[in-house]
Amino acid sequence: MSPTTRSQRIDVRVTDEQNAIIREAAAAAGQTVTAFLLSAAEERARNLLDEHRHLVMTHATFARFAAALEDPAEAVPAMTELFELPRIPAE
Amino acid sequence: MSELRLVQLTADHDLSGVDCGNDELDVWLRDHALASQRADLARTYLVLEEEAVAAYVSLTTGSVRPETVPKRYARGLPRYPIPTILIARLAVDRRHQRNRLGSRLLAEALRRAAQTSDVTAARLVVVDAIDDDAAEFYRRWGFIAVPENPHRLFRKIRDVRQSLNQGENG
Repeated sequence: MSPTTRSQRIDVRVTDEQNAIIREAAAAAGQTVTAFLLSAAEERARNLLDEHRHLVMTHATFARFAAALEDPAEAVPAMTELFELPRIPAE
Repeated sequence: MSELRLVQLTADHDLSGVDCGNDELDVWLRDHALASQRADLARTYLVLEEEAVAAYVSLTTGSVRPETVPKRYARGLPRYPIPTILIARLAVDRRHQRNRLGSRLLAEALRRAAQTSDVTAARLVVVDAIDDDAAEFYRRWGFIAVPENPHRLFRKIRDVRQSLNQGENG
């Protein structure tokens, strides 16, 4: 099944007031209630989870990337300069 | 300019006036940073000038990993995710954008990344550049783009630590 197929359900009970305000907001946004709820929840979920935390590579790319990390550690001249800037005092 | 100080975000900070010139960065700080922190999903540090936010940075952990493939094809391939510390967002308020504050805050974030990796294993610092200018900013300070993605850049924590030792003793 394609990952974009909507095959899963989430059931949510709402109060009259929540129902009214969500319907009104969805109408104002020009969306169906389902589309509105999904976009709002998904945006919040992605923001909370920082969706880009995990960087996924093809196996070939990952193998090359991992191999390059075996090079000996080195001070990076530009980064050394960065650490010479004035500190921001922590409270 | 009065004195700047670096603090970890709490519910007491007033985030309403922040204007980094990028809505996504402003909205995330105002509406999501505290929730992420409370859920132990990200730590956000603010640079304050008096009580106003001059800049912020958020740190979290992540990984670089190979895509999952069926077992019969995966034999002999490196499979272990590489643990990373991710600088997910770094933004400077418009009023401070000419004072090298972003660079100084990056240095503070990298110091914390180095400290973190003394306590738990992390092999890389990865940065998430929001646009081309941000990517250029990170390259200027020695970061390297990951393969096939000019907006994700990295450096080995060991390189960061060696640079830190030289910079602070030099």
